[in-house]
Formats: sequence, structure tokens, C-alpha cells
Amino acid sequence: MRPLERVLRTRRALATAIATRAALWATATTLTVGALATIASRRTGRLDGFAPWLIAAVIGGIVLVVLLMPWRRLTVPRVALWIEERVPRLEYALVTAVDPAAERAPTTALLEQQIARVSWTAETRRAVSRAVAWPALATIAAFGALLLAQRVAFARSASAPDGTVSATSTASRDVASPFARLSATVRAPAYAGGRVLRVESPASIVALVGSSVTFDAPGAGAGVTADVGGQTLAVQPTSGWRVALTVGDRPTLVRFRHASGERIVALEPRADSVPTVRLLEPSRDTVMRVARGALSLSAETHDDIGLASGAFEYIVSSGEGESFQFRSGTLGTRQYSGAANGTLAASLALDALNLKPGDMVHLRAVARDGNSVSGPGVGASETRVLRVARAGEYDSIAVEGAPPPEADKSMISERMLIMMTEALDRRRPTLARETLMSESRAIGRDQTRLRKRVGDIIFARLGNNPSGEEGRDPDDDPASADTSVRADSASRDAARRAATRAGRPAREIAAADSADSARAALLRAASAATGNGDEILDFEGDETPVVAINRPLLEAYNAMWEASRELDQGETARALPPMRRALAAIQRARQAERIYLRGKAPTVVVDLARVRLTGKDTGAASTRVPRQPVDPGAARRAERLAAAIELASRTPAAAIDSLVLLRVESLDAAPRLAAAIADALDAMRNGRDATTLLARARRVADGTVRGAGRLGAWSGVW
Amino acid sequence: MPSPAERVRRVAELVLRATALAALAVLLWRALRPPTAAGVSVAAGDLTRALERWTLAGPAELRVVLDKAPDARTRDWIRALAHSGSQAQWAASRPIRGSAVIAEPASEPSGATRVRFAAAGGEPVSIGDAAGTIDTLSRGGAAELELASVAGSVRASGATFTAATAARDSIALKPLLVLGAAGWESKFTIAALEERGWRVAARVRVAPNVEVTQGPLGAIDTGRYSAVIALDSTAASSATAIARYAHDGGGVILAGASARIGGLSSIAPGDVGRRIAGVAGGVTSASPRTGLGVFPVTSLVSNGVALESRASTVTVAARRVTAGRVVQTGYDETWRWRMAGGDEAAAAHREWWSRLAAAVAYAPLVARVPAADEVIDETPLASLIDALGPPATMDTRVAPASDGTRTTRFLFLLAVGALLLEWASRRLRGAR
Amino acid sequence: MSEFVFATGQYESGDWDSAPLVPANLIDSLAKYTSLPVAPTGAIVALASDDLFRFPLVYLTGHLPVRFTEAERANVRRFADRGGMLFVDDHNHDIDGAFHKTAVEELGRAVGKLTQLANTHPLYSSFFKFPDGPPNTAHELNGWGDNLVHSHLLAAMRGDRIAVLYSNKDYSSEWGYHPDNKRFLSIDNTKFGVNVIVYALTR
Repeated sequence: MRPLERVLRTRRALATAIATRAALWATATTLTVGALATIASRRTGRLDGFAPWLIAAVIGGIVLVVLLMPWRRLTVPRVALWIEERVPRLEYALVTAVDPAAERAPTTALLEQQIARVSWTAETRRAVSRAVAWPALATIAAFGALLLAQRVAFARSASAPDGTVSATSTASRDVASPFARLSATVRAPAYAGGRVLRVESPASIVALVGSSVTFDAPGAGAGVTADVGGQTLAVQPTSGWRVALTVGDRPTLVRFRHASGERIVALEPRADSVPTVRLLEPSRDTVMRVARGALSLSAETHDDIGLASGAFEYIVSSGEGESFQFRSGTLGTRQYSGAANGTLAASLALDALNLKPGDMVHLRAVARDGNSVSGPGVGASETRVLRVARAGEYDSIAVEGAPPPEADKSMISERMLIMMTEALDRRRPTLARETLMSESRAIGRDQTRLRKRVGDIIFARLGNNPSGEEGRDPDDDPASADTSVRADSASRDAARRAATRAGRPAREIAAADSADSARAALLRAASAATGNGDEILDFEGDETPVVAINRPLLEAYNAMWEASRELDQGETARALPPMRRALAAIQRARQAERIYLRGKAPTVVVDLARVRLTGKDTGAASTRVPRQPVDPGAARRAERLAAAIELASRTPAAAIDSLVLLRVESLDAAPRLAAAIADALDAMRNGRDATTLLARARRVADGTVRGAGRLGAWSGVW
Repeated sequence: MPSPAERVRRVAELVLRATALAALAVLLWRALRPPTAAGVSVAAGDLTRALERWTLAGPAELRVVLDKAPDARTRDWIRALAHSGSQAQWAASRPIRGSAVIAEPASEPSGATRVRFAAAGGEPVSIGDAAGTIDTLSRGGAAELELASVAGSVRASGATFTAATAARDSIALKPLLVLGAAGWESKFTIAALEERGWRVAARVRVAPNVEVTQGPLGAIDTGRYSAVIALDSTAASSATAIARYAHDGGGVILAGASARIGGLSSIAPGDVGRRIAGVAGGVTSASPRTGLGVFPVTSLVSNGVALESRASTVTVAARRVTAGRVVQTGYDETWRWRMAGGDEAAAAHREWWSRLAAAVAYAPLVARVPAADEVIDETPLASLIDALGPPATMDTRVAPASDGTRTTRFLFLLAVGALLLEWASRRLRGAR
Repeated sequence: MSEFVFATGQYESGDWDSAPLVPANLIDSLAKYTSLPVAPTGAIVALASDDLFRFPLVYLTGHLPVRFTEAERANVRRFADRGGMLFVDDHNHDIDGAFHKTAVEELGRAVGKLTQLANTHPLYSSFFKFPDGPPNTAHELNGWGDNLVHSHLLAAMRGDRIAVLYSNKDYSSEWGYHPDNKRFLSIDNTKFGVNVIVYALTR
């Protein structure tokens, strides 16, 4: 290749290097300027969208033009000189060889030979590499800077560790300069620790009720107005401008207005919960015979912010009927100084309360928190009741779950005896006489035992020795004959006795006599109490409680005696009627007993047919005022949400503002909707796809879409 | 003397120059050539461009191959071209399903929209509006939806159609008249309706000649009430007026055993059967009305429609009576559902009573002008046939029409690229 | 049509059954003056029981402190939210007494703060007219209790409906007699009870 051709080839390489270097430097410059301009535009809000890149492109173009200028100076002589500088061996032969004036010189061939022996390819390559290396690195670095600039998180979310304050910032879409660098300082109430949180570019703030919020921004603030819930807030000039307010108990929006635009910040109050208190001791209600000693009390308390104090409270109720007296007091008071958890312990001296039978003590633990804004919040535990039983009273104040009284047990047993007797009577035709007698007498013995229990109840209520009659079991040795006057019972009793004696062993006769004498004594006692004979007694409504409760039992007692006799003779069929009479009498006694013990009058059944419309006066017609719809704003909220979703596909920024407004307004009336919108807003602000979340919010607002998978013959979804 | 490489290079430059010139010439020719006057078969994919060309060119015959029902704008455009002298024919490259959708306001104060949809075939259909998808029918078919809110038009989209509609009417609802004796059923029924936004007039009897009244009370006619609800036998004194009201177009709800009232039994959908007790604990179950006692609707009249049933007994039935509608609900003491049901029982009780009222309410439609952005194309296939006639028999296997835009772009880029490459090559070898 | 059943609420902490004759007396009055179907005897329902929701009007009274259990409180709250009405009467008629103080606190926690009910409220004209508000009782100045005539009743509202009607006037004593003894009274003092029931049934 001739020298000129070689120089031209080198010239082409250099030109390529110049062009490449210029392009790389221009690219790097464009990317770097673009990244810086993007950051600056978002911070200042002065530039938007296309503008930063236009500026970067212009600057990059300028750089490209400037760096391409050397290309024009790439003449053949200059290139030759450039080669000569790097390859001294040429000794300027190349410059001479490419000179057009020396083209036909006689030394041309010699020069070409000399030049042909020298190669400058390596130098050229080195020069080209050096020319493009740094620009290439710069381009890569600029690209990285651009990625970094675009990934800077402008949406920041900060939350205090105790959750008293949280805030959401938003990328400053606002073009209005007064609000571009708006920030908020949130100070929790003093009782909650007074923590301070600073939030840049807030979109919503969640804070305790009573927290103070101060918004500030640089600039003079001229023309800036602010209001919350329709009330104007003062804009105070400081080093910039400032607006201060206190978080109320309702969610609201703070609106900042300026000629160039508007900014809204949502304020969501978080209420201070009341303390929770759990009473550990006593663990359940108690009934005592005698109120002596000390009752151990313990409780545990908890509050979300901090407890102030706790104590046990008691109320002592004395009296009965219509007359009651009350005493109350506290004990075990304790101060907590803001601790979140606490315990209470005390001892209730029962002697000091001077409790009498029938008195009741209501006990509970109470705790207060330190809320000095809207409280203090007071929490209370479950109440325990301590009752002192009245004399002779064994029932419980609990209506359900009390053990059945003795009469109940008697009823159950008598019913069982009836069933056994009926079963035996059915089998009677198939049984041998001895078997029948054996089983019948066994039932008879049970009947006798039951009669003894009933007798005990009667004696106990009459105030006598409960073992008056049945000091012994029927199977025991017969008692000595009692020659005391036997009650002259009814003729059937005499007949019964005669029948009993007929054909009986002496031992049995003696036992029967003993039973008779005891029975007679019991009947005499009953008669003395009731003033009546010893016939089967009837219950009458206006009798005293003593009579009311004992008459049926005495009747039962009589009937059981009769039944025992028949069973002893194997006469199961004849035993059943008195057994059933006994059962009925026990049931009546049970009702009478309940009425007496609980002090209630008998249930009055109103004779409706008799009294219907017999009133002398008549009522007057009246008018009714309609009820208000449950949630009149629900339909409007659904419409607004649908409109905001539609707007999101066209103008996301405007849609976000609409959703923020809707969310704050829904916090009270529709908290589920507010929460669903909050999720969607979070996604939209962070550049994520919010389609699914918006659809979910819409389902919450609209309710379930009522649908039928067919077209029915009747309109409406069925 | 140029080297062989240089010669090759110069030839390449020549070729590039020629290529650029050729591309430019083709572009010029395409721009200047007259539009074809022959009939053109076009697939649906690029109808818009074709329509633009045909509008300018006015071909004698248009053949359109569609893979889905076109929208109203496209359809009207083709029809306009057909009416301007071109003979238009269309065919479908795949079966286009017939579909229909309509929206009308539900007769409830909440302003809900009732959407009815039907489509032939079994392809999935998505129903939504401008704010997104509302529901999806996996196998198409028919459906009726009640939507609490609608943004823009309601669209039902399948693979071969998109039907769109908007509610073009609103309704004028009047108060409901409730007749009953004072009691929990009248109290909670009135409460449920009012809490759902209904205006309620009421006559509640407490004693002979003593009533608790509310609202406008006057003659029972359609100018005053949208529906009359008879809760018990106290409606007997108004039975004749209620029956006449139903025949005149009013809505009547006969609750419990009130259908037994003489004068109302003639308009009732059926007879009143013997009361059946509810299932113990049923009000807290997933089907709370199973826990209510019911007077079953028996001997349904010929035009009676059973709306609800429990096992084999009809519990709610409806019928039309001349111009009016009557619903008979046999449920007894529905208030127990509200009081003793689950957490959502009160809302469900309200909704159920509101639906009953909406099913019969006399609610004349008031026409409204649809908004400019509301698209209405309720029966795409039927409208297409109506505009262009039935599909023609023709070969639907056509290549996609060349979109001149793409060719133009290609030629332009080819020309520019060739020129640039030629220039760069010349400059790099030092030539000017 | 279901009949109205007068229900007495049973709570754990006190003497809920201190006025056993009130139900029969009010049932008698309701039958006397209205044509509403009514059960001839009252029912007793535990506040903590799910049966509470079978009786949308429940009568509560007592002398002793009222302390709801968690179950009773939750039930009462739900009861009021669904439309039920509690009629509570202080059998002590003593605003310094334990029943009043504790009942007001517990009802406030369960349902909402009790505030004075205006004497022009529709309750006082729901059937009989009481232009001066709640009728006084013969027990208010009987030397027991606080010895005051209480001019107003208290109420906790749900919207504009009474959810809890609270009385310090001791209607439990005033109405606590056998209905047959009404014939000895020149003025039937149970008419206001009819108003309460009719209000509950119609509003």
C-alpha cells in the first residue's frame, strides 16, 4: 500500500475515533444532565415530564458538536504529522511522501521503501482505544446515575415505633411552589410521651387525638390559605410560613390553597383505648355463711399508652324487700406513672365491713389511664359478688345451676319408684309369687326410705329433730313399742293397719306400729302447725308460707306410707295410685318451695278475654316520624369511587386526590371502604398496579354484586 | 488507481444511492397514484384505514371480513358507504355470537342499576364499566345483575362481540303504604324499608279507632303510592281499594296470612297453606329464612311465578294482575331474622324487604338523555345485520390488507438509511 | 300475627326479680286499652342469653348494684343496635343509690350515654297523652330513696329511636300490685306503661 493510502486509512481510523468519542461523551453528558434535571425537577417541581430531557439533549448536542470539530482538522498532512510524532523511526519520510509537491520527486521510491518498513498500526490502535475508553466508561457511569435518579424513592413512609404517629408522603405532584417542600412536625400529647416526628411532603397523618401538628414550608407564604373542616387556620410567617393545629377526634382534611394550586393532607385521629382490667382473685362469686377473715384480691391491668392508677372498688348492699342501704369504698389504690402493664393486690377485711346475713358485696378492679386530652379512660373488670347467706337459707343467688332442693330429689326418686312398680306390675302374670313378693318388698323398702327423707324435711322446717320418726331404717330392729296416744287416723288407716296385721309376723307388726307411732307424732306435729286434721291436705293460695310448703309434703308422706303398705303385700297395682299422689304432692311442694324461697308472688295469669277493651279511657291516635336511612351516603360514595377509578386511567394524580378525599370521608361511616382505598392509594403512590385493589375497594363500596345466572320470568335478582 | 476494495466500496455506494432513489421514487409514485377503483376485501383488523381509503376512493364494491362484531361507529360508517353507492358485503371469519345487554334503573331508592345480559354460545363474557370489570360469566349465557354504581357505559365483552349500554332512564318512586297492626312485624318492616331509603306511609292499628299514622295518607292509587304492603288482617278494610289499585298498575305485597283476606285473595298469586314452623336456630344459619315460620303459597295461579321455595313449598310467589304486580310472601315474623340472626342479619333483612318492594313497585320511567361519553350498542350482531344485511357467502381467507403506513415507513427508512450509509462511506474514504 | 310478650330481664348481679307483679299489671292494661294480641303471662329472659333477641322490649329493675358480665354487656349492645328497647326502672328511686349509679354506668358502657329525654318526646303521646312528661309516682316522695320528684326520664338513643329508657321514678313500685286491685284505684296509674309498650311496638 502506498504511503498516502496508509495515511488515509489512518485518517479514517482517527475520524472514527473522534466520532465515537464525541458520541460517547455526548451520550454521557445527556444522561448525566437528564438524571440531574429529573431529580431537580421533582424536588423543586419547576420542571416536569419532557423538559429535563430536552435540556439534556441540547447540552448533549452542544458537546457532540464541539467534540466533532477536530474532525475537520483531519487533513492528510496533519495525520501524517501525527503519525510521525508517534513513530520517530519514520524520520519525517511520511510527511514528505504525502506532500503533493513531492509526488514525482526522484526520492519518492526511496521514501516509500523506507515507509513500507515501518508500521504504525499499534500506535493508531492505542490512540483510538485511549480516545474511546474514557468516554465509554463515562457513558456507563452516566447510565447508572440515570437509573439511580429514577429509583430514588420519593414516596416515603415513616412510622413511629409506638404507632402514635404515622404519615404518608407523596411524590410532589403539586406544581404549586408554596407547597412543594411542605413538611409536618407531629408532636404526641404530653401524656403519651410527647414524641416528635417530622414528615416530608405528607399526604396523610395518623396521630393520637390531641397531638399537635405544625405544617411548614419555605417561602413567604403570600397568598397561602389553610383550613381544616371548614375552619380557617392562621398562616404564620416564620423563616418560611407555618400552620399549626391540634388533631381532633374526627378524621378531617387540611386544605392548603394558593393561586397556583391546592394541596390536601388527611388527618386521621387514633383514639386512646381505655385500659383493660382482669380480676384474678376472687375468681368467682361466693356465698358465705359467716363473713370473717380477709379476702385476697388481685388483678392485672394493661393500657396501650400508659396507666395512671388502679384500685379495687366495692359496694356493700344491706337490706331486703324495699329497704336497702349501700356503702362503697376503694382499696389497694396504686399509681403506675405511665407503665403499660400493672398489677393490683389487696386484702378485703370482711370483719371490718361488718356484714350481716343477706348482705352482698360487689367487687371489681378499676384502672385509669393518663389521657389528659379526652379522658382519663377508665377500664373495669368483671364484677364478683360476695353474699352472706341468710339464716336457714341454703340456696344460691344463682338462678341456674343451683343443686335441686331435697324435694326435687324426692320427686326424682318417687318417679323412679313408680316406674319400677309399673314394670313389676306388667311382669306380674309371668312371675312366681315369691319372686313378686321379693321384688315388691324391695321397692317398698325404697319407698319407706324415701318417706323417711320427706319426713326429715318436714321436721326440719317445723324446727324439730329431723330424726323424729325414722330414727331407724325399716330393716333395723323394731323400736320399743310406743304406748303414746296414737293419732286416731281416718277409718281407712285403721283398716289398713288391720289388714297389715293380718297374717304378719310379730316383728313386722312391731315395725309397723313403730312406724305408725312416728307417723302419728309427725301428723300431730303437722296438725299443730297447720291447725287441721290429718286428712290429705290441700294447698290453698292465701295460706302462710309454712303451710304452703308443708301441706303437700305431708300429703306426700301419707301417700308414701300407703304405697309402702301395698308394696309390702305385693299389691303393685294398688300401690301405684298412692305413689302417683305422692309424686303430684311433691311437685306442688316444689313449686311452693320455690315461691317461698325467692320471695316472689305466684305468677299471675291475666284473663285476657275478661279484660279485653274494658278500659274506661281510650288512647289517642298519634303520628310516627320516619326513620332515617342507615347510610345515606353509601350510594354517593360508591358513585364517587367509580368516578375516581375511571379517572385513574386518564389522570392518575387527580384520581389520587379524589381517592384521598373519599377515604377521609369514609373513615367514620365506612371504615372497611376507607381501608380498601388506603391499600389502593399506597399502590398508586408507589407506582404499582392498583387495578385489583381498586376493584376490591369497589366491591366493598357497592356491596356484593347481586346476580342470577339466568333471566327469570320476574324482574329483580332472586 | 482505486484498489479492488475501493471499487467494491464505490459500487456499494452506488447501490445504496440507487436504493435510496428507488425508495423515494416508489414513495412518490404511491403518493401520486390514483386509488384503486376495484372492490377490496379487507379483514377486520384494519377497517379504519380501509374505511378512510374507501371514503376517499368510493369503490364500487366493499367486502368486509369480520372476526368480531364491529362497534357502532364502524358499522355506521360502512352503512354510510353502502348508501353512498358502494355495494357492501360482509362475512365472518369465525362465528360471531349474538348478544344483547340492557340497563335500567332498579326500582329502589338506592339508585341501583339492573343489567340484563344474554349471549348465544358458551364463550366467557366479562361485564364491566369504565371503572373496570364487575363480573365474569365463565360460560356466557344469560345473567341479571344489580349494580350499586355504574361508571359510564356497561359493557359485556366476549371474544366476538362487545355490547354496551347505559341506563337511559331514571325512575319516579313514590312512598310505600304499610297496613298492619302494631307489633314487632309492622315495626321492623317499616324500619327496614325506611333504613333502605324508602319513603313509607303507614297505618298501624293499636286499638279500635286508634291508629299510629305516618306519611301521606289518602286514597290508594298509583298517583300516591308505589306499592301497598298488607301485613295482616287489618288491611281487610282496604281490600277492595287495594285490589283496584293492583289492577290499575300498583304493586301489592301480601305478607304472612294476609292473602286470606277476602277481596285480596282474588289478586293473590296463590292460596295460603297451613303454617310451617321454622327450623330451630335457622335464623343464624347461612339461609336465615329457614328459621322463620311460613304460610306456604299453595295452588299457584296460572300466571304465578315462584320466586322462593323452601324444600317443596313455595314461600314467595308473584303474579301480574292486569297492569299491576302482586307478591305474596308467606314468611311469618320476619322481625325474628333481624333481631336474632347473625351480624349481617339487620342489613340482609332490610335488603330483602327492599327487594320485595322493588319487585312490585309502580315506578314509571323518566327518560334522560345519555351523556356524550356513554356508548350504547346493545345488540351488536343484530345491529350489524340490520345495517348491512345477513352475512354473504364469500371466501373469508384473505390476507391482511397492506397497511400503506407500514410500507411507507419502510420505504422512508430505507431511503434515509441508504443515503446515510452512502454518505458516511464516502466521507470516511475521504471523498466529498 | 305474633303476640306481644312482656319480658323481664334477668341479670346476674342483683335482684332482677324485685317487681314480679309488674308484668301482669302491664299485660292487663295493654289488654284493657288496646286490641293488640298479648301473652297472658310474662317471660323472664337472661340478658346473657340468645333468647334476649326474641323479646324486643325488655323490662329491667332492681335495688342492688347492676354490674353486667361481658356476655350481658355484649348482648345488650347488640340488642340495642338491632332495634331492641330496654326499659329500666330504679326500684330504689335514689339517684345516690347503688342501682342508679351502677346501672347508668353499665348502660352507658353497653349502649351509650344516658341523657335527659325531652318531655315533649313522642313517647309521651304514643297512646295516652302526658303533656307534662313522665307521670309522677306515689313512691317518689315516700321518704325512702332520694325523696325527689324526677321531672325527666333518661334515654340512650339509636338514631332518633329510644334504645334504653331509664326511670328514677320507681314505676316498679307504682305498678307492682295485682291487676285485679286496679278496681280500687280511681285513676289507672299504669297508663304510662301502655305508652312505653305502644312506643316500642310502633316506633
